[in-house]
Amino acid sequence: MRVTWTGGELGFRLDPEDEITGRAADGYPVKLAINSCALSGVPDDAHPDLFAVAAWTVVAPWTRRKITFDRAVSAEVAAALHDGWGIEAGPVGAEPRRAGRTLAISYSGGADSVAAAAVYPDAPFVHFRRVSHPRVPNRWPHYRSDVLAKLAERTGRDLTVVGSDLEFTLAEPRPGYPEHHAVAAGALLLADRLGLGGLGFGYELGSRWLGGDRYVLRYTPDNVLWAPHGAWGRLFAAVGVHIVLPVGGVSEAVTMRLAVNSDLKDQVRWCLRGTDGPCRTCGKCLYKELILAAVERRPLDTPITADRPVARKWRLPPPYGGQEMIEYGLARVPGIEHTLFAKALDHLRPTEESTSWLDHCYPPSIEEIPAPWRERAAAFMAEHVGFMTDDEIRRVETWGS
Amino acid sequence: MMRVLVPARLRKAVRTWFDARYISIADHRQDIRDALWEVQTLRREMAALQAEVERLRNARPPAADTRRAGAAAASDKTAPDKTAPDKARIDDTHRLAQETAKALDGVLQNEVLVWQAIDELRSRLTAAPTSSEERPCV
Ligand SMILES: [Zn+2]
Repeated sequence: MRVTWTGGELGFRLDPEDEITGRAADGYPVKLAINSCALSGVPDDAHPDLFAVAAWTVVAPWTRRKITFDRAVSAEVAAALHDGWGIEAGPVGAEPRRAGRTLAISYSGGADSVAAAAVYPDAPFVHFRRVSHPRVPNRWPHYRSDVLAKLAERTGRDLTVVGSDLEFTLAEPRPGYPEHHAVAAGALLLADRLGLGGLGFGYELGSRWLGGDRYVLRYTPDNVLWAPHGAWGRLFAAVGVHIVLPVGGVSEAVTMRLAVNSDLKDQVRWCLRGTDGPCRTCGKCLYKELILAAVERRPLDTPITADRPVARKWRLPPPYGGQEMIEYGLARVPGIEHTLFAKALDHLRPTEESTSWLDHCYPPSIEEIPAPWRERAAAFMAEHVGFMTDDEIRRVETWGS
Repeated sequence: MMRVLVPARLRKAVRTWFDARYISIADHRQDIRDALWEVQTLRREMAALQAEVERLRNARPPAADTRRAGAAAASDKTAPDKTAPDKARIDDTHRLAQETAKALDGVLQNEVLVWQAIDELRSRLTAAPTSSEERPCV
């Protein structure tokens, strides 16, 4: 792989051993659509390591053996790429970047990132905004990135919006971040300008410790995506932008509760489709409605009926993605046995007691927050959430076994 | 252009090594020609598509939209069904747009692969002992 930056435009060329079909960090096969993308509003004089890591968040899935940057990187970044991915990186010859003092939040507007923002009320936001790629037809116009950017503006926080078409480098399964960390490409390039030493993401307990996302049912202390000692954690640390997960120790029930009780509650939006509010008809809206109904202790309120395609997976037996939250909802939503979740309820039979650990904070998640920002997170969790008991900690650590 | 006298035997050995390891340059030329042809075809289809969109836009009164026209036609059964041919054209335009976008995916991926092949060839040519300019591939 050879990468070239021209201002905020990234171009890349495959080496002979690279292929159109690559693999993301979680092993998922991904197909390349095009070898160029751009980020707007980023400086062209960022530290070379920042350009390197920003590029890596895009090209990693398609790089097999070697990456050649257009400017020399530090030995630290080359070592992190070698140790984390077995990739030979060069040329080497820059001084490493020193970490700044500021923690920014990578803000999407979803409940999890609003909760992360609530932990650090003074942290500035960097918001990634999807824009169309000039050479790739946009077949997904229902994705309302304009609405999300507007909502981010209304938070009143110090906000930097980075527009980018980098999601269109991914052809299959569909446009999206080639790696989850590509959402941070803009924040990385802005790190010198904003004096960043850390970047906070809204990844919660499920994503950090329970496999999350495409994995299910497995305790993942060494999570390759988000653990500070994982490949990505060490790479970000090498450029002085530590990955910080302010809500990494709490479930989506807690992030939901924190979000709807926060100053930013009017700007919360997890659905990417609706313009005036969530669409209420997509799979994500259904999942979040189950959690919200459980948090508010009220019956499920959804227009989705059991015969809809989006309800299909709830007629099948588990495992489900985000299963811990499904169990939490099933145990708490009144009348759930008369909804499209009836079958899932039959299979799982959770109780409030068996799911109470999801109301508290897993202490190791605080320990792994870098020192400058740890105390604030610990105090916040003690005040607003409470920590898990030893029994509850065991529930996390035996999840899926 | 610099030319260096190379013993015929060495030159032949290099050529043989070269030919055995690469897709022939003729094949590459054909690949590139194919990709260009595909791009040109798509360009024509895009132009046709744009003309069709323009025509549809001009054909209907500015305020009317398909859904309203459809609803009006459904409520008034005696009105001549003027929406049917429009619907066929819209469906056809939709199909053409989908197919064009899908075809473009292939063109863009081929472009990445063509550059990969060109770069590889170029690096081998630079590394070859004869001359970097003797056999340009594009
Ligand atoms: Zn929705």
